[in-house]
Amino acid sequence: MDVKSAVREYITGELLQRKDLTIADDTALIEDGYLTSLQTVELIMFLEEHFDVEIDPTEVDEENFRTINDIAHLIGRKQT
Amino acid sequence: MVESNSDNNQSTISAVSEKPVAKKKITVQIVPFEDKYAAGVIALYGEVFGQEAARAYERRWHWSLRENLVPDESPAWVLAAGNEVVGYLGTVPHRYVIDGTEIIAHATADYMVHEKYRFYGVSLMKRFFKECENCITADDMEATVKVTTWLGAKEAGILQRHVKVLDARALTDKPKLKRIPRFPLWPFTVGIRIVDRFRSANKPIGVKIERCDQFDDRFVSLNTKLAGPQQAIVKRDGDFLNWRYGPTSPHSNRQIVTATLENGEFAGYAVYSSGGTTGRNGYLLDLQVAPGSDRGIAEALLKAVINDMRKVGLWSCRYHGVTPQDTQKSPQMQSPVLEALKSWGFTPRTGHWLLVKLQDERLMEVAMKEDNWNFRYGDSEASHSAL
Repeated sequence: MDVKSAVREYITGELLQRKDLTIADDTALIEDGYLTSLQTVELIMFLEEHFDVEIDPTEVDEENFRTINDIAHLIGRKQT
Repeated sequence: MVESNSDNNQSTISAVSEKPVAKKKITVQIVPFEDKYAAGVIALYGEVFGQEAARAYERRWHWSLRENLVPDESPAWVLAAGNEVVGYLGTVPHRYVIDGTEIIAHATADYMVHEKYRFYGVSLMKRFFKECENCITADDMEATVKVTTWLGAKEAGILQRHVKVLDARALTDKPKLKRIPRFPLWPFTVGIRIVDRFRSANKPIGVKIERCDQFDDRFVSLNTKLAGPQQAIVKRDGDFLNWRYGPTSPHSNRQIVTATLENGEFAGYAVYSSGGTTGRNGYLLDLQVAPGSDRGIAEALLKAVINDMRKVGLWSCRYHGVTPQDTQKSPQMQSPVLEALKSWGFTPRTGHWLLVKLQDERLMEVAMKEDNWNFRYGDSEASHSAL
């Protein structure tokens, strides 16, 4: 499963518990209220475990978590 | 939905417009708290916790932020969306004595974020850990605990909650039991009183229990003795006690009882809140006995507290304190306070997590052992609410 699909599945299935929800790659996760602080931390824990990367607290900002595209870019940078 | 178009001062109704109106991007930033944000913080508190809670909040906020023991070292931050306060995190500094070393550690206070900006709550907490060297705080909110531990704080122990039912009507406060009518509960209340009368029949010999209006050197001396090697404790000196329970504190209505031995030695004390805004619950804010005391001293103090709470018609007595996780495995660590609580019928419940992050590794090692802690409801941020 590619990064975007895995992230999307985690957000809808685990964080939001709404498998019926459709979130596009460019859906504004923060502005549209999908990510709270708790959910962000849980998402980070998922990303670190699932993709074997380490996310520093300084990287937790709107630029890196605004959309699924942005999260995928962050993971991509860390994996290279 | 009507949105204002600032370019031509016209309002456009986006619902009927064919072209979507671009949302004005609002900059969200964290800024150090200044007085100009005060009204916004109070307003936010009302939005997050309700307007009734907000009415008592402003006075308590001043007490914890401006009147604490180290006001020049009480950073606080505002999450601002444009000119609007949409988040806030304050701190309350305390002096601690850990393994004989005195440090200042901050507790987080009033962590709140507007629903629409909840993502940025992490950023507020990041700022706290960046600017505060030492953190000791207690919380039971899952989100706060998770964010705090992710940022490096460790769970040092549980601020265990203990509850003693004084009046069986207290049980109907539980959602599952709310439908039970209260009047048939009086036999249980009578039963509880009878059992307590048997409990109180065994008095420790040679202990005098008295009411006390003010803290004095005896309290400071006892707490100094408690701050021994390998111990972690809030520095409960005169400054702390008089601020914590002083006239501007949310617990200014506190009562104090003391225990003194026949030889005049000060053996312990209890501080409790039993009226005013506590509703039907009494709160035992602190209970301390001299090192080496047996449980009889604590039992005698509890008896005085329970009798007083019963006299004013309270339904329960509540106490939070750090307790060893598994006392069965370490009987030598049984504290006289814990034994006394059990003997008086207090039931343990889930509590708050004690979260710790200290710069000094040696002190952190001491602080990570739950058995080393002497930490009570009266010490923690959770107790800064107006009861």
